[in-house]
Amino acid sequence: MKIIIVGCGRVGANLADQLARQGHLVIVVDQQVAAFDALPLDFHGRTVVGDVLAGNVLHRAEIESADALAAVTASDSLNALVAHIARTEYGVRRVAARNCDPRQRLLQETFDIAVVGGAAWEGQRLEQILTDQAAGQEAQP
Amino acid sequence: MNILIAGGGATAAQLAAQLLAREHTVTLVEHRSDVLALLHQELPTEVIYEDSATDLHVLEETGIRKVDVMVACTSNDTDNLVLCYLARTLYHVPRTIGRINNPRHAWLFNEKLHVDVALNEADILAHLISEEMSLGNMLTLLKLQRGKFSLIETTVPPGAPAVGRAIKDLPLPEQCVIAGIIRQGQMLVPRGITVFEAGDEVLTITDAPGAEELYKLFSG
Repeated sequence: MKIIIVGCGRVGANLADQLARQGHLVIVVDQQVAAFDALPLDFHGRTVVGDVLAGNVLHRAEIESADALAAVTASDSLNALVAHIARTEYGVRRVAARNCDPRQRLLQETFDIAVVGGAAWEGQRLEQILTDQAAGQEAQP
Repeated sequence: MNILIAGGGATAAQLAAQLLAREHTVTLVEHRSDVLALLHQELPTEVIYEDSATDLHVLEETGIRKVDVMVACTSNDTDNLVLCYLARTLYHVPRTIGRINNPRHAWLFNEKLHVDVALNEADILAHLISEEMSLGNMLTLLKLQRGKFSLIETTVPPGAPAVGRAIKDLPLPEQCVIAGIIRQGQMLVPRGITVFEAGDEVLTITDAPGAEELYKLFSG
């Protein structure tokens, strides 16, 4: 599959590397050239530098022929918007947006896309470990 | 009208003040504390809602369900697009206006993302500046259709190609109509047989290419 990853932070770099290792054709987009330092030296995919909402950047990432896109920048609204555009404007079949701030989740879901984010789940789990006796014991080494 | 403005920069503040002067109901949402300090000097407190506009709870509390127009005027194009989209799909706001900060994002401000009117400040300003430079004796009185057409006033100098010729005999551009002629303080309703004289003030509605052709006819 041809997969576009928007945002090359920790999440993006990791996801891009995993997918490339599985043999997918991966294209990573980020505004900052320095962001690509997060990719491993032996990363097999392509990188595209640019503002993802600027007219030609998604085109340079070959979105017209992409099978999937994940928007995993630090901005929840940008992630939702990019995933939405990929699906509606370019007909990308599988799209997902990362959620950072759980309060922005509802807003993202309005765009009718898959939203993935661990912050709410992590918070709940940590709360369980801190307050629940049984879970606390289980978490000990 | 009931108007919600997202963003509190100079443009938004100016807009809010103008709308209030015309007795519209205005709510302005802004969260940056430094910007808010300035806003409170310019606008009445009850108009300003201090919070982030890209939050559904905040939008609900500002009464977005009852507004007639949503003006997404923040300095962030992503937020402006998201706000127009939410205003229409979630809250059925009848009219949305989106501000384009970066002209490279202009392609997204369209009906697909529910932006009814896109305002490209850089583009509008660039057009105004280039017109001011090229068309010396032509004064733009009014912009129509988002700047596509203008109402222009020109004073005909002696020796201009139009002097002594009737309107029907002038090679007027296609997208142009002579709306009025002011001669010695009197308004003449232009007819085909009306002949131009030096010193006439001519009012024309035209598009930009038309204005350039007119300039050739009406300059000395």
